[in-house]
Amino acid sequence: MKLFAVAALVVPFGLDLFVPVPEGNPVTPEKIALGRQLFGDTRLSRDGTIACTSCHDPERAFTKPEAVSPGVFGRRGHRNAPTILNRAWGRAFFWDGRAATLEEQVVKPIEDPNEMDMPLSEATRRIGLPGVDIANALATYIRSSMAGDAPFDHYVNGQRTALTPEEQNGLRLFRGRGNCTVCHVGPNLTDEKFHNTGVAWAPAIESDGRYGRFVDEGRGAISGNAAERGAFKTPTLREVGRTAPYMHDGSLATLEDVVDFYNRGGRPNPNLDPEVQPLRLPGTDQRALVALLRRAFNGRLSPSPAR
Amino acid sequence: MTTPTRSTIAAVLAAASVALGSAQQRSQAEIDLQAAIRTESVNGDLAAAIRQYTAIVNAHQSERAVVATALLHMADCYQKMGDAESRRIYERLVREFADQTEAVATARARLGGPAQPAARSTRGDRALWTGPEVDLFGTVSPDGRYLSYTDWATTNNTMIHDFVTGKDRALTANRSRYGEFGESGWSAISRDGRQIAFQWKPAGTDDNELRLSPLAGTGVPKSRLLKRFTDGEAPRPFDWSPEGSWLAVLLERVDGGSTIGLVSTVDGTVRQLKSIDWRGVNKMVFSADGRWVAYDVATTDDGGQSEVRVMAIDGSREHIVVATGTDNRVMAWSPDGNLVFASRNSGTLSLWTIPVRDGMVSGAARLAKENIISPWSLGMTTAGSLYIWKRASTPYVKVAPIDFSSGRLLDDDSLSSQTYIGSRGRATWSSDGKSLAYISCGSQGGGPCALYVRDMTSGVVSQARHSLRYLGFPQFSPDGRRVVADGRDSKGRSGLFIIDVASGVTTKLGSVDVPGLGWPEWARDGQSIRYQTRQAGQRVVIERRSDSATTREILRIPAAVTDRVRFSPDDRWYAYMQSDTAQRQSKAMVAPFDGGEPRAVLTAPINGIGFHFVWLPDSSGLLVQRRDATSHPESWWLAPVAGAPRKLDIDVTRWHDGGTFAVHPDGRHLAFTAFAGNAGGEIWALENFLPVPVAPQSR
Repeated sequence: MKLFAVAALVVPFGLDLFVPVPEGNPVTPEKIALGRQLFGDTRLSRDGTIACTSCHDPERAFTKPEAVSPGVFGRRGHRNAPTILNRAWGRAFFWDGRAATLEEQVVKPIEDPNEMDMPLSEATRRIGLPGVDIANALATYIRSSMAGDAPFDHYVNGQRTALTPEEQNGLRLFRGRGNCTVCHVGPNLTDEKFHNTGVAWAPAIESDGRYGRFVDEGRGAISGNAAERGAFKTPTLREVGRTAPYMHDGSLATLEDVVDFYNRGGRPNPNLDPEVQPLRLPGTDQRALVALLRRAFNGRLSPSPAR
Repeated sequence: MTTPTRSTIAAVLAAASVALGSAQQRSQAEIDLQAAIRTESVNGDLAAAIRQYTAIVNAHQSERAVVATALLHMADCYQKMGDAESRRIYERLVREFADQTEAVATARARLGGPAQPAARSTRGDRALWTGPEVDLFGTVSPDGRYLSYTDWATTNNTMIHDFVTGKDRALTANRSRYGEFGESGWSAISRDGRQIAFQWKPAGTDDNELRLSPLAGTGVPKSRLLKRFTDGEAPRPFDWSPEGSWLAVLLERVDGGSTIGLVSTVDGTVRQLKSIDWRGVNKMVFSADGRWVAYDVATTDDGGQSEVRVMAIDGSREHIVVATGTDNRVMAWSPDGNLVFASRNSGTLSLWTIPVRDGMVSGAARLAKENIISPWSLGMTTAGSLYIWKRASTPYVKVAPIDFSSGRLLDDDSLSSQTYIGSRGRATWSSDGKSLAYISCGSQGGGPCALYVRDMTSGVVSQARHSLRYLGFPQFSPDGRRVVADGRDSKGRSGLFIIDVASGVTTKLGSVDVPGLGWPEWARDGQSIRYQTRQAGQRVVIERRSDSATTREILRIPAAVTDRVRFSPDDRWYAYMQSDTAQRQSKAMVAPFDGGEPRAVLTAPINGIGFHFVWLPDSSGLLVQRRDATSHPESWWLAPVAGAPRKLDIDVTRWHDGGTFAVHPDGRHLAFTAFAGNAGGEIWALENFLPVPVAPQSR
């Protein structure tokens, strides 16, 4: 049975007041401050050039404008750096959900050879803190990093002028014909589940995809479930207007590309989520969706980003 | 910050397990009784259940409580089968088992007699009120005198029932069931008994409101707008904080999720506590000190497993107080700190209490009352009586021969199916008349819904698979291979769906996300589906080609007070029901589909025409429910397109008001939904089950 121990945090308007916090890692101002400091500390990387902020830039809603961010010695992985915002409400971490808690998640990029390539024992020696303290502080800082108070929040709470008419049309499509809320639901605009939209599918030679392959197994590699091959966790859409590029591999450069991708029904593949169907939205509707995504979910970050 | 340790929780659960275990030390008679109940309610085999109950009555005569329960269930089985033997058994219970007060009270309610108030000191249950209007959308006042509810049948008003005088009072001003001012929903009476909070949807808008009204006085009081929800959220008030400053509310959002929250009764400020999925919660209650709210939440996709949690009203803490189990539900919070919950973990639906201090479990769960009749709590009085709602009797589907020339239903007791349907019905015939489809949505009607298809030749009933959580009003395609229905999928999204009866493949109709969507039916050609929407207060019918997904508007009715539109089988006519509040009349209207003025084929006093109606197979007229001034019972009328309407000689006093009926294509049989006993619901008070005497100050 999982129990929640919760401390008060500054929760932006539009988000749930209840913030799940694990029993063993209560939130304290000191721990947030330490985590913030460690988040920008390049000593956590083998060559001393990479910090968490290198890929999760606070000035860009904790993302980086590259499909795949460079790690130590210029090495590159194969996935896009997602935002860390509102992960306090997360139920699985990383694009493939391979970490169950934030405390488990935060040490993996430190140890990943393509990212920071730093064994936790070495990080402990350099920082002068036990590994568990490093993990707890980083997790607490991420847990305290929130985004809300966006035009969308004011609109749904009764301020009808908070969205432009075009954005309102976009929201109607978002909830209706666009079928976006099938995955992007709730205050954090994610169901925290895994879906195959076809981004990881390479159709190869045959146009019907019979001889295609998944270039990234995604959730399937973690769960061992063949039906989950090519599935990735639904990301939040908070701050989505300033977190390009998009998708788990950063392969779509703009919001227009994203809307166009879904309007065409994703990319057909053996595991395509049945909810992903051609939308056949006219251009005006596509533009309305883009208008919504570009501004409506961008709001206030709490606490203010570390520099 | 304080939280219980895992060892503390483990100890509490272990203690609860011991209690559960001791409760399971039953006699052979009790074991046999549970087996028979399973046969009745799970397997739906009423005949076999009757045999089991009979054996129990004969074999265990000395165990009067068990025998009385067995007799009660046996009578219920006979009632579902339309067998008059049921009445004889109820009468025997009343006559021979006076010491079994709960069973006797139920039998009396089944017999339709007045509820028998028991003295306050009586230990047990009291049946307080039964009738077609009795619902579960309100709460009881702290003194137990009043109950709020919604009058769905006649006015859509928020109502108050006075248990002392037996009188009802409207708190909103609608005069017809079309809700000319708006539609009511859930309501909750304040802890001091002076105010009521209720959900209100103003007519002609998609907004929802929370409103407050005083309970004192007479007539319709002036209500105060507390909060208007403009983004389509439906606010469901559950409880008032003890000092009256907050409402515990569930907000059902348009994106398919829901949020637990508090709404300030001072300025309408919303405190958004926690977002959960579309299934929401069954109940929220404040603790006696007002610092916590308890709620139940589903933990499995099918909703069968749930747990009870307690959250601080500032959202700072949350604790699980009852771990995942079968049908764990919050019922009330007693003033001494015991949380009262229902659970089926012990095998039967039972009431438990568990001490909760500072939001955390502080002792062992205790079985307070076994085998309660319903998990729908309407709140607890200051005297410790728990008021609950239950359905008065089970609806089921019947098919009976009907002779329209003589206006008589020939065999009122013929039975369509003994398959236990729980609730709903909503039968529909295939165009060749060989198949009858109907739905069952659980004992309370909220789903999940099963779709059954009966082969009228062989009598075999098969369950048609589908992937929906809830089905509204299914309609067969002309070829009988598909069903179209409004409904909700497993993610809680509403829409129109087509179900392939053979394969179970369920397809959502895209591009139909419009307000007021509903009432889908197939066009004659079987290639198009017609559905209805609401636009600027008008009823609009859209036809959608199934092959191309192209849509076109085929009809627009400018009157603001129409229900569904139905087209005649030959497509020459359409019909709808209309309330004329100025003339205080309800009218069944018919108009030529290719143009021409509508005309009334049947009139009645305001509210006097029922919700459902059908065309006769030869398109010659309508079969319509017409209510008398008292709204119940209905009479049935044949309203021809040409000619005078005439009343049919059909007794429908025990027919399901919310159910539909369908005329067989041969025009000689009628499928309809009937209640085994009384229609509507029952209110019961469960008393003297708390572990310690209850002091005043809370409910």
